[in-house]
Amino acid sequence: MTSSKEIKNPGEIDWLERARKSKLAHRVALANLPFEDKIRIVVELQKIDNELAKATGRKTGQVWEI
Amino acid sequence: MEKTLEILKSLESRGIFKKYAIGGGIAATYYGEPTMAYDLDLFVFFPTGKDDLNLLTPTYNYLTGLGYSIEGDGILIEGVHVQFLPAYNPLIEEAVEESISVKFGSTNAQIFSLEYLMAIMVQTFRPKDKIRIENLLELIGQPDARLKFDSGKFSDILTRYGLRERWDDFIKGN
Repeated sequence: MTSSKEIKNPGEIDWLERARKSKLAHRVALANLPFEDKIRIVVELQKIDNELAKATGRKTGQVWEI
Repeated sequence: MEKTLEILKSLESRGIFKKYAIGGGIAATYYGEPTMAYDLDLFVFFPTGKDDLNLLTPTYNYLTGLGYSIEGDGILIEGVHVQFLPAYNPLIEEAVEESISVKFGSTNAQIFSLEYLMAIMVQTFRPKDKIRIENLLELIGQPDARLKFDSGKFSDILTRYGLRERWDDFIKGN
């Protein structure tokens, strides 16, 4: 038996499922990066967070200088 | 970061502290996808024991003597904000003892094993710990993911530290 949602719009289900799988594949790819590359990404995240914090007046941590 | 890790190794070899392991967000980053963190959290065995009120003093004195500055609740070592935390309970003590050595550039670092990291997150159980557990669990189930997880070892840790019920409730709720 199929759900009412599948009968209404099967294309939407496919699209959501593909998006979910794609996002998960991206997360796996990030997790598989070397530690050094991951730390470089952490520093980029710190920079983005710092800019947002400055714009909103929020207190934040110090961006690593590596 | 490589230079920071070299300094940490020198602290250990000089006996300023006995042993350390990286935990927190950077340990979660090692196993999973990069996660936001401003601190390199180090869980440490100090020579004087965890009950010494001045246990951080020798470490701070040594590092400030090298020219590194105290910033808030940590020290800035070669551009990285490092927070020194005494191994404050039996689970964390065991996690430091059982920590693994990982390569970073031309050096290496001690880090909590995935099973201990997850158990400590179950123990602390802050909202960010729950999110990290969920993220890691999702990755553990993926055939393409490189992280290895010993479910038997994890289960044993949960049982020995009285975390089984909390874990079961968490899994039921997901």
